[in-house]
Amino acid sequence: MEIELKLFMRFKDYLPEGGQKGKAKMTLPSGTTFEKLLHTIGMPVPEDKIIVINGISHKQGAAANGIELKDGDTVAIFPPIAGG
Amino acid sequence: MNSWPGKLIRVNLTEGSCKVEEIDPKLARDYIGGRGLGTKMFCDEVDPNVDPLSPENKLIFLAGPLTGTGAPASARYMVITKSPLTGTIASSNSGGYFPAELRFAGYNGIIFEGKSKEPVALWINDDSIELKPAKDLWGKPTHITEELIREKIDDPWLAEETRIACIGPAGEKLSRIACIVNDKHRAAGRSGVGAVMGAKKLKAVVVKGSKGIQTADFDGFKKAVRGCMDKLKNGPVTSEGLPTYGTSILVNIINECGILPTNNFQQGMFDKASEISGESIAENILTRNKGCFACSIACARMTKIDDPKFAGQGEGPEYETVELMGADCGIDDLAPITKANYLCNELGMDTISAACTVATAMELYEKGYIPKEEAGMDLSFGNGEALVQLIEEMGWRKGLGKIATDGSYHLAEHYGHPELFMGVKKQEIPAYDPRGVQGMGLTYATSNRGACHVRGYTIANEVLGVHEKLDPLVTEGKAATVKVFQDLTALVDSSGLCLFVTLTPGWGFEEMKALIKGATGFDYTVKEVKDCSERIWNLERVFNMKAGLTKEDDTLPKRLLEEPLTQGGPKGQVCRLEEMLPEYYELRGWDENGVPSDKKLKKLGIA
Repeated sequence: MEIELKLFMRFKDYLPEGGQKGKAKMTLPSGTTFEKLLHTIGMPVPEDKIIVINGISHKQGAAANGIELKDGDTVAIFPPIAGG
Repeated sequence: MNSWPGKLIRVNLTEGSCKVEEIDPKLARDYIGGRGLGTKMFCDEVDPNVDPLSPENKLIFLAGPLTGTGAPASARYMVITKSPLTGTIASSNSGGYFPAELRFAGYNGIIFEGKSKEPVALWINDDSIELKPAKDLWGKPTHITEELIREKIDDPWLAEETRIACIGPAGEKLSRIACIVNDKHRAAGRSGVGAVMGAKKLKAVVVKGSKGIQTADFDGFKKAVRGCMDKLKNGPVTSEGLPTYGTSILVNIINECGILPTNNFQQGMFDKASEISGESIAENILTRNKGCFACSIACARMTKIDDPKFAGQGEGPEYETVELMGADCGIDDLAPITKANYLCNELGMDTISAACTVATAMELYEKGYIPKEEAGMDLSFGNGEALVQLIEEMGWRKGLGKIATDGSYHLAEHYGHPELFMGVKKQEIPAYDPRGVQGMGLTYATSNRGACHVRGYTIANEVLGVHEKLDPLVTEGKAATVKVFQDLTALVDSSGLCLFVTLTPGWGFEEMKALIKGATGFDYTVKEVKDCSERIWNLERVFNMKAGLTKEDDTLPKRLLEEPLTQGGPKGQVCRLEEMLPEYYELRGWDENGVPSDKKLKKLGIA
């Protein structure tokens, strides 16, 4: 299956090869969880982050880590930010 | 001697008199300071049905007990009056260096009453307080006003250290979205407080102080500050996110979540969002970061535009400004957005209301409701030149700006399409579409000063997970969340701290209590400061009800209640306000019409 990964700010350092401007198309085995995706790109699982999958923000931790990704999903990961 | 509650200056502009008064310690204890105490003083002295632009309306500048103390982000003051935009209580907050300087001069606030015949400025230098003619400053933009005032001060060192709050042409011309600008770039922005200052013919307040600020329990205060500083340093938002990228860092994530108002809230995603993001600002126009008094966050951005069409330099744009002048006007170019931001600061207009008014004008124009000959420009979404031109016309009340300068409610009404006004209680909605973040819909609908994001910033939990992560699309439990955010905000706004301290995980009532207790010497408990917060919120509500507002005003534009979003995560969603409002009233101790019960008011000591 293929997903689109979007990484922001300092997390761009984890962008897989072939990615550009913080975005990368990734081909992953079906059934890949969010946690497995983090392992694949080398991002530490416990690191504070904001997770947005298909436009919905998720609570970081066990629940998000266990989310099974699907073909066509968009996964965006941000460092902790706020403001406004 | 303890500097709180201390003294304030009462200025009668009709008589041209100034006198110094003591602040009542009982009121200070019950209403903290800033927004709370200012609102209490205002309610005690002014009829809620007063015409906001009449001499009978008063204008209160008030610091909080923490302002200028060196507590983290202790830079803020509040401007309290009756709003000419909303007809509600107005309390607009600003930081920079002016508020602390007022306290250094020995005063915690100023009450302006009456109306001067000719333009005047109030000059304060410690014990010297004087109203001086300001005819030569009238008509001048804010940055030029500051420079002209400094030129009047012989000692260049003193001139540099003097702090100024003033209005621009928009306030003089009674624009209902005029703000009061201090330190050139910071603004008591919302609800048209600048028009009240303009109606009083008060151009500027000039302050120099050389006194210290004494806290009541220095050791206790120092301990509380140390604990809070550690929290700020360890909080990822306040130590990294905001200092590195400023508030505009939110553009990408809010877009990713499908709640980035686009083309006057017609959509919630903007395909060019990255062009106007915090990252883009840092790469293309940033010159340096800047902080307010005693702030380690330093979220402000100094910028410069080289494009000759929009050339200039100044501070901003912040998130709300870049989003609403950008995506909500369909504009993806930072140059006109930033230029329009500079113009708002210079001409003295609230960037949120001004930007939303341009967005409304663009939709009115595209739908053919503003005739082309009346517009005088191509107001199509995406036209950056039109954004700049209309903002300039609004600041000087000319061209289409004659109408638009009173905000989008008046503009949409004027052209017969009030449904295109995206606001609450006649004030424009900030840069989060509540269809995809339900709690913000309730925050906007129930805010005591009309639509506002800083009266209960539930984005922190619903989207960003600062304290805990909530599902943005559910309504269950949001009434309670909104109430807690509103109450904590009322406390922070009254204390003199910047609201951004609450973006630190674990920063709540306990931390606020420790700081306020140390500064004031009042032996507060956590329960007491919570009661103060509720008291403030309820007093504002009571004022608004007496001013004629009802439950019918606690609502959102039809578009947000009935037209579903069409893209992204919240596709198909509307704001389900009706699922939250009755529970909210109940939690507040209000009846089904949103009227605070006698029992509640008695308990809070308001009745």
